[in-house]
Amino acid sequence: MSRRLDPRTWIVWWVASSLPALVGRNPVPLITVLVAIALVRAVVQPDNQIVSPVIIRLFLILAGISVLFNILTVHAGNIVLFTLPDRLPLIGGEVTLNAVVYGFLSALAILTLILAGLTVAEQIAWPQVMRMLPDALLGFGAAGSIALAFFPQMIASFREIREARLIRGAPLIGLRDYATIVAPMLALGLDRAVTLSELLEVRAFGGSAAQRVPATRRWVLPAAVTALLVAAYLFLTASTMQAALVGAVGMAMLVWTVFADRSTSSGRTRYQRLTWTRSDSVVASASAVAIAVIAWTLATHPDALRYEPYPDLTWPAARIPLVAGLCLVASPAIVTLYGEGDHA
Amino acid sequence: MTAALLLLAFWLAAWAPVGVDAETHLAGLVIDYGDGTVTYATVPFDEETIDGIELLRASGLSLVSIPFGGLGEGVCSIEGHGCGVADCRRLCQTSEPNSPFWHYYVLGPDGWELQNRGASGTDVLPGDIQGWSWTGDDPDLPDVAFEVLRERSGFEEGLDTAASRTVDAAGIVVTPASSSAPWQTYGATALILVVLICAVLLAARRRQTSRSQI
Repeated sequence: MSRRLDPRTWIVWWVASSLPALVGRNPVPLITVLVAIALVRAVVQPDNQIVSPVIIRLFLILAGISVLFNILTVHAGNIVLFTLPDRLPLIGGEVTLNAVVYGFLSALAILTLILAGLTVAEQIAWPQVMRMLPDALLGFGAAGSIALAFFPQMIASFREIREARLIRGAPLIGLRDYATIVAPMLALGLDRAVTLSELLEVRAFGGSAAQRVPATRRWVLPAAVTALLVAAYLFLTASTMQAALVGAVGMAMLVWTVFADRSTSSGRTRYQRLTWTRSDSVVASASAVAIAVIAWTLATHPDALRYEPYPDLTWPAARIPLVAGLCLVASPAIVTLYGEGDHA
Repeated sequence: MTAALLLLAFWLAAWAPVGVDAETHLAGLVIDYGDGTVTYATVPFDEETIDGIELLRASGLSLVSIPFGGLGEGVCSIEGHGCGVADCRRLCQTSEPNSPFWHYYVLGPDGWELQNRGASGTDVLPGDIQGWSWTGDDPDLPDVAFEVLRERSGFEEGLDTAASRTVDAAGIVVTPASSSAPWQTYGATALILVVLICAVLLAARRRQTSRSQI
């Protein structure tokens, strides 16, 4: 197994692999990205299954919900499968193949997003991500990581309770049984939260010496937030240019506030520095090129990314430059196979 | 008991008056797609009145609409012009200045009148002309008398189905273009993916071989 890629590289890769699913539902780029992600998963995680049964089950559930929602709410399209009586409120009308296709493509887009996120979550070293955050955002990062850990902890609590009930001969069968486990799950969750806060407290987390914040810096953060809110308002009222200007000023103030706090940090220790290798450069560059190709295609040939099976079920557009660009999403697989341990 | 009730229901259904010869009414549609093309349609209907969405549906034009509960249906696209379903579930109109959306009008004595209630909440009466315009500015719907609209739509007396015609800015009738599958591009896409998969599999196999030799 090769050295893991830098977290920054994985974040750029994640943007490149998620973009096609976020901007449209054209099956050609979606399938291309899915193949590329599957190749990356096969190479960087050879011990794991490319697509686990849980993912397949999740996809089938997503597809079922998405298709059902579409066929019942959109009664448009040129290929009618059957007709629900009009007297049924909201869902009455023609059920079309177009709606089935749209629902399936939506599920495919969600699967792409899940697989891309899952690959990054499995490959990225979260402590390294925490170390990359500016000192001023350390509290935010800690809160974020605790929030991210909440759901897995809740699942673990559920399993513990279920096993405890099984041992006592009271398995979870009906809805009424599930209602009884809410209170113990909450109690376990609170217990874990208290333990975590105590752990942070005994390590003096965030307990830096009281420092005097300069008067000039005290008003910058509220001013930055105000500017960003004004920018959002201007954007919503179609004053795009003014919104961009005010937003840029707000962002500049926010960035200055974040990085200016470095001098007042409590001093974090680092035992291992992040190293940027040639593999990182290759994957980050390839992902950046893929992002550029997607942006260019979106500006020049949006139908190559966007696809609408309504009102007529037509063949989706395909563009070779886009497909070639999206193949670059497989770059982590290529560099893992061809260039292991090549430090810059 | 149940059998007797079923028999009674069947007997009542059999004697119910069927085939009442209803008078056929006509209403018109003018649809401006914002690119210079305009569709004229004449729609026959048997009911005393129908709503604006039913009129659009009965016109035979391809319509994509989304239900909004008690507010009725929102029109996403007509004949492929408009916005996609995903955008339509939120809002077709963007924050861009003059961003287009479907304007809904009824032709009255003083010209086109904007309908704020939406197409599901209006009553279409015989002889009414309704207008749809995909624009972000003032819609420039042409004022037409019903007889002129009937003529432009190609509707002939005695027809029991809707008739419609789309004309461009020069008044020439537009025929919809048929699309075919770009098989060559699909083939090239499949070839690229196969090459990519083979390259990765080959490299993986080579790595495995070199490791086993070590």
